[in-house]
Formats: sequence, C-alpha cells, structure tokens
Amino acid sequence: MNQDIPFSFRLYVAGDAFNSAQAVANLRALCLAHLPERHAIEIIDVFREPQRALADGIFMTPTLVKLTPEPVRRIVGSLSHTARVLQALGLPAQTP
Amino acid sequence: MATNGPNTTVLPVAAQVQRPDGGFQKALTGISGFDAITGGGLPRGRTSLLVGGPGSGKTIFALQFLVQGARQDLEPGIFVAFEENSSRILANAESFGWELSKLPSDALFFLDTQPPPDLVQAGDFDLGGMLAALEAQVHTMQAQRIVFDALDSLLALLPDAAAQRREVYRLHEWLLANKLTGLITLSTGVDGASLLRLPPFGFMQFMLDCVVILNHDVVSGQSRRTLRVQKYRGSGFDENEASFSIGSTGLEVVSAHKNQPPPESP
Repeated sequence: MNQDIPFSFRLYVAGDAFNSAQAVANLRALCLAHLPERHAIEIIDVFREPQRALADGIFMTPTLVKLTPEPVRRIVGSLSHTARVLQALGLPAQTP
Repeated sequence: MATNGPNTTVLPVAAQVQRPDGGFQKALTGISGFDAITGGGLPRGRTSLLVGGPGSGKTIFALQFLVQGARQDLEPGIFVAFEENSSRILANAESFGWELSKLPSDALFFLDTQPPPDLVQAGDFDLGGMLAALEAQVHTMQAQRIVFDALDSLLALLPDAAAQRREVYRLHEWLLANKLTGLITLSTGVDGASLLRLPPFGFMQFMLDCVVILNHDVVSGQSRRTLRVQKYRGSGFDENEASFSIGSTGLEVVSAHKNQPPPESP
C-alpha cells in the first residue's frame, strides 16, 4: 500500500554529544530496517549552524523532524525507544 | 522619587558598589525598592533564581529587569519564554506603559521555546541545541542580560532528577562562560510549601548566587504580596520580608525596615 512513499528526515544534532550520536545510529538502523531505499536523511549540527537552530525553533537536541510524508512530526531524544519512534512516524511495528 | 517604575531607580548610581575596574558589581533591576534592599540589584555576571507561585509576579519582575537593561543601562537582554508565548507576555505587560514594541529587537529579544503539544519524546536529550542557538543570538546583539522564564516547565520534560541537575548545571556553566547576568524563574505550586517538592530547587539554591522568593496570599480578603531575598552570595542585603505591589508601572517594593513611604501610584 504505502510501500513507495519516500520519507525525508532532518536530524538536528549537537556536535558529538553521546545522545546525538545515538540518534544518528538509531535513525540509520531504523531506516535500513523499515524504509530501505525510500528515505533521505539530512543531518544538521547546531554547533556549526546555530542560526539555523534559532530560525527552525530547535531547542532540544537531538531532534528528528519528519518532513515528508505529511504531517510534519518532531521527535526529541536519542530515538532509543524504537516502538515509540515507529508509532510517531506512522510505521508498522513489524518489519514489512 | 521612585514613583515612575522602570525609568527611575531609588538608588543613586554613586551608591552602587564599584569594582576595581570601574564597572559595577550589580545590575539594577529598575524595581523601586528591590534595588535598595540589595544595594544595587542582581549580581552582575552571575545567575539569580526567582521563585514564586502562579500569579506571584515573577514574569513581570523578570521583564522589568530586562527593560531596565535595554532602556537605561545599554545592556541588551534576551527573554527565553518556556511556558507563555511572548505575544501573551507582551500583551500582559502593555498596561505598565513600558512600550516594549518600541524597543528594537537588538535591545530586547524574545525567544519562544514552548515545545509543540504533539512533541514525541523517544530517549535522552539535552539543551545543547538551545544554548548554541542562544549563544549566536547573544553575540549578534551583544546581550548582557538574560531571563529563563519558567525553567521548571522545561525541566519537567526531562526523564529524571539526575538529568534535570545535569541540564541546570549545563545552563549555569553556559551563563558564566558568556558573562551574562542571568535570571531564572521557577514556578511553585499555589502553596509555598510545594517549593520543597520541586526537585531542582534545592540544588539550584545551593549553586546560584542570589535567590529571591515571591509570595502572594489573601489575608482577610486583602491581597498581600511579599518578597524576600533568601540568599545573596558576597553581598549584604535586607533579609526581611518586604511588601510589594504590582502598580501601574510594574513592581513596587516597600522596604520593610527603612520606613520608606510606599510609592504612590500616579
């Protein structure tokens, strides 16, 4: 059904903070398992681009923004709670 | 004197404590009476804590401190709003005649950081992003004062007391590193006793240099507001509870001991 819809993500991280590094690893693993070949990830380091964090209203790091498909969703944290992340993204808990 | 709110101060500038380098050790708040109790205002380059229940006047106090800086002392300021959004804060402050909308945003800047209601939390996070964003803004406008209003509502999102302490510590270190005169407000429950149940309070009380407590209660149908400086590291202060009112130009504190006449409302 929704197998072909591409997902695009933007992940705001704070340098090499542990929880930020975890979020990057967790997002990559999740995409590999649940969204193979239909995802795009942009990573923004707020230490390098603080003005962007200010403009985009990013105050807690790490923050994942799902840009597409709509609706846009924000998920804060290291993305360690996989079930909660999948639910927020509207993805089934089981690997299809 | 001292009847025109943030535009005047009860304390002549000469009475302020001067540092060897000629600067002042304290930052005037512009709140008539409070600057007298503390001998010149809040500790400069340090962080103060302002605690009180809902409606106790914390936000007005904090805003007045920034208005004084922006308008009188050439010290630009940033207001970080965790709970109420800035348009509501501005609307509430309208009645004090501070004309905040006329202040340029490089003199007084509002940052809205209320988390969206549908925010999902999935694991550990911290305030690194916010502080990086704020640091850029501090440098852009050469800010010297900063208020974190209702920090408790942000701390409540953190998973446990250890994470709360870690982020308060991070924030404090950041304030010191940026040489900002900081004011953090915390909201207690309606009864003052619940202050003790506020997990980060004991820790913050110990860590920060100045602690001010606001109270509001109704005694025999009479509204009674009091302010007390609980701690002021490295400075003498009037330890007694002082009455204050929220007048037409902001907070007006009546010093408990010095028998100052209460400021008249115009």
